[in-house]
Amino acid sequence: MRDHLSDGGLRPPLADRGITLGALFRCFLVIGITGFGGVLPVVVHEIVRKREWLDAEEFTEILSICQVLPGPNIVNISVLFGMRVAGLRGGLVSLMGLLLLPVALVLVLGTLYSGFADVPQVQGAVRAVAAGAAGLLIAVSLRLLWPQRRNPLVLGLGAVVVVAAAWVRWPLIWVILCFGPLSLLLTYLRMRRDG
Amino acid sequence: MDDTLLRLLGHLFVQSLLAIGGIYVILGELQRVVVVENGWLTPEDFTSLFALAQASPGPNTLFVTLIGWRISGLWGGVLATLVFVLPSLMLSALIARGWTRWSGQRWFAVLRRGLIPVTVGLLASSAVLLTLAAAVTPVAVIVTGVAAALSLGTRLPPVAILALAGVVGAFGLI
Repeated sequence: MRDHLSDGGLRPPLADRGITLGALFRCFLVIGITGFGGVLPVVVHEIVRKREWLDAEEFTEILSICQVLPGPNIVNISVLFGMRVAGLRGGLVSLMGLLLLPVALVLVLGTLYSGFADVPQVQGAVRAVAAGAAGLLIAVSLRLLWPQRRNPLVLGLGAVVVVAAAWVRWPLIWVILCFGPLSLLLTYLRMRRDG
Repeated sequence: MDDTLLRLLGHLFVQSLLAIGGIYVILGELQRVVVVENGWLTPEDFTSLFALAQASPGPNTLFVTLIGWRISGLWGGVLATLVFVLPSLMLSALIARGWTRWSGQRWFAVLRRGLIPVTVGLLASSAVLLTLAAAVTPVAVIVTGVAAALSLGTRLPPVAILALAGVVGAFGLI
């Protein structure tokens, strides 16, 4: 198995990639105010594609850890990423960038919404945005799957997880408790075999 | 700070620790506490606040902001948000501190890479479930497909793609 992953591989550690606190704040500000119906596609767009602060594989690593931590994934990602870039200050700056404007906006919207909830155009737009958001999530799945396309463990176990979560509709906590340890064990055995 | 708000904050702190993978996991539990058990919100309120949180920019965590706001006003919203993100803030901070120190160690490499199959699988599952829920008319299926294609094939930011979708929907085509 290749070993070019974060902190100690081919790319310099995150703290040495020239990311300033201001850039961090602006990045998560953009993520916060442009993320509709799920923030993940925007995070991948801003951090992986546009700024290239992380490659797809490094991002998937961070997302993996954040997925098993309690709390909103995007909050975990912002703190974990920000702290690895610039310590505690980096983590707080990212989190503030992420939450400040959306919290203010949603409170304004909440006040306005009651007056517009029944307008057909508003209802249609909300439905269409939901359909578009589903499409964005499909694209993100494919984009993060792509670097793993020759990894039989990801393809095989990933398919089993899809069946369990999307078809049988297991609660998420079961999926993680059941397949997390299995996945760790198989990865460990595979890494030991490959040296 | 009134008693209702304090009790809400207590529930949110605990539920934040249970929300492994995001807020969707605890929606049922949240509804039980806020609507059924305490009657702080009506079922209709609960549903429309959730729709609103999804339709506005930012993480879905904002649903918690709206619940706090509806129950206890502006500061209720702000405090609910802070209490809800606090546990994950602390845990993520702990992991971030260890990341560099642990990066040479085998167990950490196993932990980082070993969950990728589950992550990719869960992500694909969310994509499937969201598509099944949203792409319910022929036009909606087309919107979903075009959005995926635009995201993969162009460098358009996600918000531009969703804005296009929103315009299609506002004209009553969906």
